[in-house]
Amino acid sequence: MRKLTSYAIESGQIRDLLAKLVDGSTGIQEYKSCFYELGMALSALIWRTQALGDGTRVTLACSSEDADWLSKGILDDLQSRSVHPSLAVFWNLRNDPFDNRQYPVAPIVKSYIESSETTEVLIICKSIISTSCVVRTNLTYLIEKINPSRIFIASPVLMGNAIESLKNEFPKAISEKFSFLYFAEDNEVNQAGEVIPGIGGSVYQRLGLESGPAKNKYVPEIVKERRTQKAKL
Amino acid sequence: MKKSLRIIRYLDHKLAGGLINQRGNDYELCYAIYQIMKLADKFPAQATLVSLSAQVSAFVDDFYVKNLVAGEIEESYYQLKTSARLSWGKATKIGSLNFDFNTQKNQLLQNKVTFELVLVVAITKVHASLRKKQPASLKRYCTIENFPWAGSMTQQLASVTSFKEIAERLCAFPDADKLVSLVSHFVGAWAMTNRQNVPLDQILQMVRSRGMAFLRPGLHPPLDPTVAGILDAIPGFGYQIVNGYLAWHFSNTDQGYIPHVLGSAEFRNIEAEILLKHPATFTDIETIIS
Repeated sequence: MRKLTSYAIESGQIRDLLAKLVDGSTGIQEYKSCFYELGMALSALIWRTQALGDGTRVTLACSSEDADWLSKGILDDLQSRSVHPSLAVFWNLRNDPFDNRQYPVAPIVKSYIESSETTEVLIICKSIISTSCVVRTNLTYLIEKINPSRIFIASPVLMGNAIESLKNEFPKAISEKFSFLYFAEDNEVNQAGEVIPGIGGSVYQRLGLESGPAKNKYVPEIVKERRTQKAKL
Repeated sequence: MKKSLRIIRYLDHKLAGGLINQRGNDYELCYAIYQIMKLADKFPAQATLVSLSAQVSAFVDDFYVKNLVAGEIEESYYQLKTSARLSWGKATKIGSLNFDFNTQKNQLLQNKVTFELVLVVAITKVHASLRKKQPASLKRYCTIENFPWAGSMTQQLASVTSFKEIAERLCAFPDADKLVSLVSHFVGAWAMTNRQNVPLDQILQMVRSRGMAFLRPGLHPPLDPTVAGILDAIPGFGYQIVNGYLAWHFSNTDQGYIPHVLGSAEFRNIEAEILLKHPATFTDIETIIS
């Protein structure tokens, strides 16, 4: 049973976007656009509720499959408000070793990380947070290198137990910094491990990306653009 | 009821309880993985001579190691406790720790094998108290170990030094995500077995078969010299062979790892693709090594 947050209940646009993700007939381009729009909406929610100043030093972290749409939406919205985040993109190899779903892993096999030593706010976004394995992995990696005073975990849809489960994986000194920003909470998972209704199935398939290890061959446009910009400096 | 019958009934009850607890007992699982990793580190070349069991038919029953390596203790029995309150009790009281450990000791002395009994406790205060009050009859045969429990495998790696250190000794890289992957592969491999007399070698082979476990290989071939020449010529690209894995970096923003050991079929395929495509820039090599 889906539970919408008050922010989503108030916004017809967010409800429409969530419904389009769930709708299997939504085409790849429209599906991508929905995530971009939801990224903008998450950023607006952050702006409205979290008191960011225009000089706040922010790092935005995401998985490679979220970079060009959800993450780009957040980035563009923040930039329109004069916040210019550093970007961290991770390519994870998500796996249940020997089909043991109790101990999923997502080791990082590639990363693109812009200078972020002075980060005050870390925003970590994900298209959907279910087992929280990928978020946990990338967050653990980053907080070994930077020391943000606030950590925002932003996703359009969360699995009901994701917040507690993620908090339990970190010492209190870290989990106290967490704020969760999302629009819908689901509580069902199908046999394939996909959240129902979630984001309408496998995000890789719906975005037109390869699944499994092959998806890591995808280099997001946003990474290519920012590399080029950096090379010109 | 005769004492011998009461003891048999007690043992049946204890084993049944143990099996039920085993399903949800992350602490026991974590300790088993800790022991497996320690043994894998100590006996990599003799792993066929070491076997492991959980919930054995014994009075000290949570974990059992049979070790046929010359000069090593042949049988090790472990009892695990997470309770905040624990005492030895009387040796004559069925069900007390004192009874279990003494009965086990007496049986093993009759069997004429070299053995050790280990009481593993999660709480430091309990550990200190049990050590202080250890019965004299057990002092030669039983050690009391403090193995803290952090609540999850990830937290265990982050906060229990002994657990992290042994994972680091086996893992190709020290990063938290690689350590978690290695430990979870050991958990998965152990869960695939029936947990009775499992050769250590069987678990090691299973983990080794998965490159993304990042288990340090024993021997591995060098990188193909022609491939090395191609990689060396790519501007801004650097790489290192670290414990049998290739780690790379580009500029000051990009880095990565090929999640396959040098010499594995998957790694050879990547080498073949590099030889075929002869990448000259980072853009060219990036998708091959991703």
